[in-house]
Amino acid sequence: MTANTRPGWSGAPPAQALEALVAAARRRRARRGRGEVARLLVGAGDCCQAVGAAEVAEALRRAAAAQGAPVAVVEAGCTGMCHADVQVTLQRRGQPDVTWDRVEPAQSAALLEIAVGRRSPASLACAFVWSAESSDGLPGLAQVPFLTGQRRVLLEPMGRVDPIDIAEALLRGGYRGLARALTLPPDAVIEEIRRAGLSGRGGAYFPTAVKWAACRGAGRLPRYLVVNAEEGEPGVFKDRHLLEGDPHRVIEGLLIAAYAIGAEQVFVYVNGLASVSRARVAGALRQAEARGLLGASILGTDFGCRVEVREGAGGYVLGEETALLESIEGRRAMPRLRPPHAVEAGLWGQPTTINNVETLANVPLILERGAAWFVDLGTPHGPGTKLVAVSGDVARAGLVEVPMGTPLRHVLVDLAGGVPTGRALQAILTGGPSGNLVPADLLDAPLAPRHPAVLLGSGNLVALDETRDLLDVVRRLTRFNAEESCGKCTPCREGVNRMWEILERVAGGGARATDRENLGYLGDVAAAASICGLGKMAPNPVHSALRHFTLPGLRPEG
Amino acid sequence: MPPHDSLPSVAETQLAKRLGALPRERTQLLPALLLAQAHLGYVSDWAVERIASHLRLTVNDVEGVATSYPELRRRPPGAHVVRVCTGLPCWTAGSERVLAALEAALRVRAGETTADGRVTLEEIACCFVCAVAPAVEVDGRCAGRLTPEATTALVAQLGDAPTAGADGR
Repeated sequence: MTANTRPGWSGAPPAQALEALVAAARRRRARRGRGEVARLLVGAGDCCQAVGAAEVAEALRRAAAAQGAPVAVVEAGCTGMCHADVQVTLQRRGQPDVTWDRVEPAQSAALLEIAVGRRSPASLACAFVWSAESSDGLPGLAQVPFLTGQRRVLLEPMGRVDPIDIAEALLRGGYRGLARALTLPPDAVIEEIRRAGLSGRGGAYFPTAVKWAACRGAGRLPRYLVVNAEEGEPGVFKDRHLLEGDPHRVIEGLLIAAYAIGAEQVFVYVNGLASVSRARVAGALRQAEARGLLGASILGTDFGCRVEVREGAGGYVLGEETALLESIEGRRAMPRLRPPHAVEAGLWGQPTTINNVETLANVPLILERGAAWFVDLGTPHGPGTKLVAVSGDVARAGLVEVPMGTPLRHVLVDLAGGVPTGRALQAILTGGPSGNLVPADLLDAPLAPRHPAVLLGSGNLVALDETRDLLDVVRRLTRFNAEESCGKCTPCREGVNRMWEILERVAGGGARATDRENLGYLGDVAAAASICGLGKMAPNPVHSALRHFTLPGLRPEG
Repeated sequence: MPPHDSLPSVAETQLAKRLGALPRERTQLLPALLLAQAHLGYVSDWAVERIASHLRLTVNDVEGVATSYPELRRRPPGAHVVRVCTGLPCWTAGSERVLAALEAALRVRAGETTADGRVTLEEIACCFVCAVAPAVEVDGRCAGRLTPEATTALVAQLGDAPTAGADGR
């Protein structure tokens, strides 16, 4: 499809084709739901499985079978409240959901009795109800600061839906954005994204519409879309949560993107360690294909699109978009020199768009609810929301969603509960292993793409209390950046390694008067002359630490 | 590279069948290497040659890619692979103590395999379950909120044979 016209269709228009799918899903639901009084959803993302989610789900299934209870047990995503994993959520018709925190397999019999109504929800501790006010003697959301302080749009269904089941996705409004997009010419879809001001959530915040328009404008066919789900930055786990908890939203987003740029082949490149994400995406894709939402003639139109899931094999540099392309082509994951940019010459030299998972997850909602809605979600610092992974020295670690531009303090203190030990906060690492160390006195700075001190990056915060040795922190981060250097360009391969050497020597007590100056110089060269973002950003932890903190052995006077 | 001088194992036969089904295009190189590791626990010399011939690449080419990905192994690991996450969030939660306890219990340093070949102990940069730190990955499965004691107990109960279904990564 090269002409800028909407796709043709021989039968019903896309919206009607979608309605038929929704009606079929409703009929199927009614048939299957007969006799089922409730269902229990076990949070079973990577984080939950690390603390026993599979065992809890298994125990619940066994208890349901033993009691003969008409209760379904579903493995869902994580709500983002990783600190409370394993969570189990009870859904009964006409009543708000109830979620229990830190569930153990031994509690499964009690949960089943509650599910069938033989026991009250309040009789099992550590629960809250998903309504503003308390009910049934259970605290409401007003008493769950981690959730109430968020603006949950992408995270809204997390942990409370069956991630793979497309019938469920359709019944809660899924694929409506796609149906609308397919009634518009591709340029109009791009224009809607442009007005929304959506920018790349992988950390670069490049305007998505500009990328799409350039790729489409490159003209040549075939064109490709690559979904970057290679989330390989230590401390970041947002895309995993999206793919584990609601893969259909991402699939809908990638279909809209593929339509807008005119791509008929999509690669979803998933991090090698994210096995739950990979399995859920693959499962959701199969269901979408079976309903004609994928493959040839999507929703009865003449737009067709194939999606292939690829698995990574580690390496921070793999997330760099041109290194990702090299990997798909079967070469070593090393970044390419630019220009040409991928939108002009990407996969096999063809025009290629590379989008992050979170970016694409926003797309269906923008198409469905309009650009103005998306702009209103944000603040003057930027439109929309941002997912932020919070870990380190906080009381409530996990994944949160807040309006773009929300102050650091809100996320770290109000949502995550601040430092749990009563110690003072010393620093926050923002933006991953090549991000910035931000001092606690900048807590009122906004989490926004272009803030000079707070590097938002792909969205992660690691809190460090006053007892943490920041020299050890930057030494560790620099070691990581040096080891992950792919070796293609000298400033990164040599420069970052020399920085690591200096830091090791300083940590060992052998500081020299010239160290501070050399760290500054080596970092400046790496930042200015490296081929890709890994080298350009690698000096950030050291430089920001030297700017804001006094590191032993590296005092300004030497 | 030494010639493959014995009959292929069951795992190799199964792998050969899966490899044969892949399109003979260079884009299948990483999928092929991952298949090899899933079947054999590592990318053996035999697998490198087999992949090279199927995808019509030189052995050097395949070798270059196989050695550039941190998750791919070119040498067989121990029967069990234990990886301690030493990323920053896990470090704040005490991963250094977890690693030290395992090094003491297994009498190896990170990066080494026990003399009996039972356990390979390594560091890993991140398990991506940072909010349930500290984390340790055992035979491809992550466990979180660990103490040094819980971790050594977890590793002590591993048998001599590889865990079924584990792919050694």
